[in-house]
Amino acid sequence: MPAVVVVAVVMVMFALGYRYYSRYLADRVYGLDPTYVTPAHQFTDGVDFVPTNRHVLFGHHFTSVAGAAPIVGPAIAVFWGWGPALAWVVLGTIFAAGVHDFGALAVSVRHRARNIGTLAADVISKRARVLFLLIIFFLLTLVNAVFAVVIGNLLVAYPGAVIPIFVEIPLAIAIGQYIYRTRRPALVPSIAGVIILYVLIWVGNIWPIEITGLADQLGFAQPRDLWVIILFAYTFVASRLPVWLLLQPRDYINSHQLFIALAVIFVGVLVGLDRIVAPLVNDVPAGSPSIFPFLFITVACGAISGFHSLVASGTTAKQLDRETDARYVGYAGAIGEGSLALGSIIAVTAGVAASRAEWDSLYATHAAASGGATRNFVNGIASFAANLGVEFQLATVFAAVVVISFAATTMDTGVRLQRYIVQEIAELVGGRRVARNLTLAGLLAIAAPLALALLPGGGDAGYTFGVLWRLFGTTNQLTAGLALAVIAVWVLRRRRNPVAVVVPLVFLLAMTTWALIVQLREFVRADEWVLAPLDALIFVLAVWLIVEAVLALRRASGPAAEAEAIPGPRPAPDVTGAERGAEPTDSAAASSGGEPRR
Amino acid sequence: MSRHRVLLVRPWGAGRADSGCCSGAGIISDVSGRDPGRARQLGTQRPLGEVYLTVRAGLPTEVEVEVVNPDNTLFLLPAVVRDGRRHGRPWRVVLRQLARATGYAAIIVDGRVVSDATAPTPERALRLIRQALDAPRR
Repeated sequence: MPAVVVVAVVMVMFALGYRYYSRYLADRVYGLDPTYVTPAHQFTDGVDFVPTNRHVLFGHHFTSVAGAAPIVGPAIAVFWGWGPALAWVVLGTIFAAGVHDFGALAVSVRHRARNIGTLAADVISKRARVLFLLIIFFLLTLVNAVFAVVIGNLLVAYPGAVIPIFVEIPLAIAIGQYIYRTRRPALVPSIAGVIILYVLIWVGNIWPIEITGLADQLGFAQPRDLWVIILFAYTFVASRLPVWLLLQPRDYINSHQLFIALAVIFVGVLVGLDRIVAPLVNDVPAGSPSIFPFLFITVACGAISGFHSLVASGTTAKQLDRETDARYVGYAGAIGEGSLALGSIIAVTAGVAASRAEWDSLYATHAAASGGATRNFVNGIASFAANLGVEFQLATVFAAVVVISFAATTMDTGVRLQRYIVQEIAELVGGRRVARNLTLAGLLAIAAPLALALLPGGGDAGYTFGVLWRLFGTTNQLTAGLALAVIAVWVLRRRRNPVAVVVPLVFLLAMTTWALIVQLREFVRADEWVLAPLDALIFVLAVWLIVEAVLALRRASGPAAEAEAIPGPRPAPDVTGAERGAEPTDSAAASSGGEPRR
Repeated sequence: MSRHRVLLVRPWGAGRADSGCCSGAGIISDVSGRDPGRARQLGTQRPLGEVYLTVRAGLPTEVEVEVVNPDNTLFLLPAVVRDGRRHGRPWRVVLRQLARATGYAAIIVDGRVVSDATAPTPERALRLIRQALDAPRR
């Protein structure tokens, strides 16, 4: 099958999903009202709350949600064949991610643009706030562990990427300093940064840096472990730096790289007319993880990602000009993420191998598929770049640098965020010393993911990347489940049909708990006494979430919710008057969907 | 779409970096409320916020006024090109404006940068914008 045909068909399906299904959601489920006064108008301050054109906001939202995660999951999931992986990405994007991202934005806009964690406390129960923090804690632990392993594997496999990746750090700091101190425009220096980075890719390709010998001398079981330690030491320091000093300029360089990589994928496929050589449905070896439920855990980002609810309900909701813009920004943002997953599937089914036999050797077992996922993606992208005339070896380093850059930035912010969550939880349980000591909180933030990324295991059931990735996918789906539960309760309270929200919610929770039970059994049988309790804890959170969601849905469908069903109009506030600049407060009566209109 | 568009670019260092799916510094304070960079961010953003409020109140509603992050190149760069070309500016001028468009607290009127490097007072910003709107197209 020509890859370009698959790309065209999927794009048509995404367009139909946007045209018809998101319209149904907007009109019949979320009941968007073009006259509703959004928080951006209600609390305009020019800083956080700014009525923003939907195209501007889409650019902000998309660059906030697009990253490395939708690449890895699909690159593993094609193990079951490209058909199931693609079907889940397409159907998940249209019927789950679109509903979730769009819904999180819609419900937040009706609740003074508050974040999904606060909304969970308001809409579901006070306990849901603690549940939210715990889910985010486990999610970040696994994010940091899996991305450390991804980067470590890539630096070992592509030693040519070491120089560009490590020089990118002082380069980004220098660019950030230059822009910040001189107040010069950022575009030219950041493009110069990308050019320097690409020169460094050429340099790195000539002088690759291998650490295998050093790792052996230091007694590491595998060289990846040395990289993992270096990475966590780096993120521990980097997460203490101000955002503008390193993270922001590196993000700027990354945003250019994202568009270049996307162009390489889609133009490369068009020029090379590559064919998909992977099987539509793969006859996997006996003993491999079952497609149900594991496909739906393996591909989280790219089909549905709970993290998007954090972006949608945080920064995006504060800037929505008209409530009806939520459809374009939220739903189309989900489609953008689905397109990245599509690019990943194309790279690992059409770009990475020239024949079925070659592909079969790369995806012989689930462990090989998961362990080699990012390498397969990198080689696939490199072959597309080769279609455009770039030398293959150089192109592999280019693709590795793109993936590592995104993964490293994700780790940097992941560790930063984890430190805040540790402090928050410490405060909740009375651990003031931890809450106030940044170094201690930072050490605690990296301890668990470092242990997960380093501890040795045996075979498929041990600390292989695939197992960590599945646990990560599980917790990401739980975050999405929590957001969908909030959205479903809100929809039900408004006396609208919540089926479009409840179906993905039930499906996700069913797949998640099923996968957790199967994995728990595997871990116990294999005497994996770190993974088993971790899995059991996440299972407890999943059950807790199911109970909270059922109770909240029952309450919402009861007569007590009637008063919230049809909100009455209020006079539109004067955005230039007294309310201007007012910060929304938690105590405000926004929990039921305070409903000002224009 | 309105005939005139004013773009106010957030000061560098004040915008909130986002790092893609599964992290994102932009969500830090929304998740935990503990972002120590928040006070600094507000300090650098507030002058632009004041500019926005004054400009928005002082211009007719037909004039579109947008606040844009400097790293939102997906929107910002095509918008500057589109606005510049729509108002008859030659490519050479458009490209020069494009290079300046991501400047610190840049104010862009119909694809032309009328102020950057420092956030002007709200009154001065409004005056600059009005002058640019009234000026003949070049």
